[in-house]
Amino acid sequence: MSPPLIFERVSRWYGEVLGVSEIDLELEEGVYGLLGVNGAGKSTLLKLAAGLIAPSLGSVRVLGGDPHADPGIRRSIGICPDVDRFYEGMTGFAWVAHMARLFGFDRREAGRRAAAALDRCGMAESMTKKIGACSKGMRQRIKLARALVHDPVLLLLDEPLTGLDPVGRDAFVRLVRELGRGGRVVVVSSHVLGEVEEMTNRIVLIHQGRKMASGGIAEIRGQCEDRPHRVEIRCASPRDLAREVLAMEGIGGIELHEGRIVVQVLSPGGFFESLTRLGARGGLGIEAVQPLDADLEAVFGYLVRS
Amino acid sequence: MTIEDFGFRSYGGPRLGSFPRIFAIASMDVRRFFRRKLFLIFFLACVFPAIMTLVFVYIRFVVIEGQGEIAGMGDVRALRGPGARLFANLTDVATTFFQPFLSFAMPLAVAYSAVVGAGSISTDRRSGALELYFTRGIRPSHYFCGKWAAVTFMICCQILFSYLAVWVIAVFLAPDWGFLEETAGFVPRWILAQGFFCTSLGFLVTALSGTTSSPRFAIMRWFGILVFLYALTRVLYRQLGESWFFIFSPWHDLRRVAEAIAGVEGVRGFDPYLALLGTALLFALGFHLCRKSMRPVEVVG
Amino acid sequence: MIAWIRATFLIFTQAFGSLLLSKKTLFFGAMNLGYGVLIALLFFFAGDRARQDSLFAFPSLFVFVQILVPLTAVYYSISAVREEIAEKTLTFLLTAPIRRSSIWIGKWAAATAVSTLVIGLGYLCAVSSALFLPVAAREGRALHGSTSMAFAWAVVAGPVAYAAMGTFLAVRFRRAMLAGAIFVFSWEGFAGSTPANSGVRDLTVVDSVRTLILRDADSARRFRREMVSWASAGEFRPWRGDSLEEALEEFIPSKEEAWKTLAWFTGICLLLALLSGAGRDYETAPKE
Repeated sequence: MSPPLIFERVSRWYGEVLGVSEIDLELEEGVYGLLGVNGAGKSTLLKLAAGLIAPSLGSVRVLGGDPHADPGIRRSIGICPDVDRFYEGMTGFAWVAHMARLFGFDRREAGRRAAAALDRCGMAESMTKKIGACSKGMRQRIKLARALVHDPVLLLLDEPLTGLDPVGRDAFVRLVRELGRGGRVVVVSSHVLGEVEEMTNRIVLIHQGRKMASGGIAEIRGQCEDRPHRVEIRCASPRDLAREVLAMEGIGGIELHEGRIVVQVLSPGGFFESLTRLGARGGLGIEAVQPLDADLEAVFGYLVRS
Repeated sequence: MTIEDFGFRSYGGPRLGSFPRIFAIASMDVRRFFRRKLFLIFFLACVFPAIMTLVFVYIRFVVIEGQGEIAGMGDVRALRGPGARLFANLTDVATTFFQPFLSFAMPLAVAYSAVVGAGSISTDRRSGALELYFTRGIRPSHYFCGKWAAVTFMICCQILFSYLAVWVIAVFLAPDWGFLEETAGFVPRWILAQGFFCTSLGFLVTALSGTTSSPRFAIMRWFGILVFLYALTRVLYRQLGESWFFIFSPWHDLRRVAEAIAGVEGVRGFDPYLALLGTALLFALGFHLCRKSMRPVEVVG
Repeated sequence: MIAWIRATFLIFTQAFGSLLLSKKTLFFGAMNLGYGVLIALLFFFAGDRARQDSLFAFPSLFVFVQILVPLTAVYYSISAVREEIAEKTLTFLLTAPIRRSSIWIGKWAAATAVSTLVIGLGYLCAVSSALFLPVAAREGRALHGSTSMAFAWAVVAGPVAYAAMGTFLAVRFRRAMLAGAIFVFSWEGFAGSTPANSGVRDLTVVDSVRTLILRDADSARRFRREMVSWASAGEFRPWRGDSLEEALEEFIPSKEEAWKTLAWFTGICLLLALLSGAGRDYETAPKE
């Protein structure tokens, strides 16, 4: 069975401006973080997936169909775009229910689904409030409810955490994880790396309209072979430990600090094995070992800034 | 332990006065307009009457008066037929110079002012720039005056400056200083009249723009109010024979006051003082709408 | 097909509600009421000395048929589409599983319905003030039924075609409102004033609406005479004994032709709207 979302050598131009260029991508079920700096092409990619715009070259397939040409395919897509305008005079419930009816549900079912979606997004108490009177966080939740109301297979979220308070963010992150486990493809676009890291460890990195990397964060970090890994080791006697570590193979350098050392490792596999043996031998008082640049921020920095 | 906020440094140096602030807002708007190619094309279309006048001036001073007669056509004053009548009439200052202005340039100013003025404040309101202005030490009155000055300048470019340029060219094209002597008494009053017309038109369209966040709605309001009230009062005048109804038409008010300043005989016996009263009422209404719609702080949420 | 009709109806209901309850309804309502006030003033001040042609027919043609009807319908239709594009709420509709044609047709129908309501309100005020104001009219009654009913064609037929034109402009052009204003105040006025035999009049809405009115306003003889004389570019000269009925047949199209022209105009405008809006990118430039 082919993956639900496939990009085949997709390029898109806006006049003379390049939106995305030759993107090849296949996304299976789960949550994906779509990362990139401002202007990288994240929103263009989401619009292509939602069928809002057609590719200039290549093809986009959602569940085997073309979302731009075939409106029926859009029944399987839910999008939460990065716009903050609605029909301000309607209530959140009326708007989500109206949208549900456009997805083919009758009045009663649309109402039931709208209430359930708004409840799921934490808007149960304010669903009868006019959208014009809602705060930014509430509007964001209404938008998300609209994306979920028809239970889509592909969920596209463009900067979804903008305007949410800390409690709302936590709830939203949990919701996204839960949605990802339910057999859906969830694509979350953001340039706030911490947000994405909380939701998933699978990323697609876009830079200047091109796909720079895709896959698990650790997997991508492992492929950055020109960048030595930085590992921090907390211990009782840093000098002794530094001496031992220097004797190992594949060490690029050591920084000595009070109560800890930072090691630059060229081949992490062998290093961690040797370190485990060293720890088992005892006497050096090793308290903690922590990679300093295996997180998303470091990976992003290595790829984009280089 | 205290946490210092290093994000903000208060500025202790001298600040701009009211006029430079107004000038900064106005110049920014004017520059923005003249950078757009589409606007430049529209501007050229709107100054077409002035270009036509330039052609008339050339025909009159270079072709007719410069040579005495058109080569091969004999004395133009003795010619017959509609085309010849046009040439013959070009010897008259009013026909050459002011008729195209009154018949074409002033009505075109309505469309032109809609383009330059309808979006002046409404666009800022829509994009949320009003809050930025009003929280940066710019008073609503400064802001409004800046926008008004920009729109007035743009309208002046279309009907006042373009015609002044044509007049200056005409003075130097004329075979002698006769044209200058002929028009010297009239032109200062005419400049004053057009200055009044442009300023008032600019004020009205800017005030209207301040009442909405949609430039489209502002354009339609502008056309709607001007054309609808123009037609309404004309119908009332035609059917009832009462010229005072024109007080309800902004177009008639502005035009009549401008005519009175220029010393031109107004049509249909509309009293200029009544027109002045109508204009004053329009200004009062504009001020009221602006005060109501542009508050220093807009509370959201 | 059923799904298409259903989606179109849903778009229609949503757009109808938001257009009707918007601030612009107040503005256009006031303008259309202004037309009612104009007719009331005319009948009140001159009802005892002038004919219904002067008091109702000519003012209604100049103010109502040529300005208010096109302005209201074109504005509502442009606003219905263009505001969605400007506010980016169109994104929500374009990502729904509906055809774009549903969106454009639904918006057009809503704009037509709302403008008909608003225009109809002004027309009702004008007719009722003319019918019920206690004036000593020359012809025994203030306004003849056939004249007042003839102008109802402007309410029924005008908005349909004007809104179609507005929808096309809105779908196709970024500066649709300016294009709409040029269409209403320049093209309709200029092309509608050309002689009937030039054929240019067929490219306007106002001519067909005027034709429907002229054909039915039997009692407004002076109005008909002047309009026919205008259309004939001076060939019809009633003072020389030319027959009005013959000139009417010669220079003014029949009602069937007028309906056909209106249908063609509306159909072509809607078709152009559907074609130009089918694949158009309303997301214009990359946002990031």
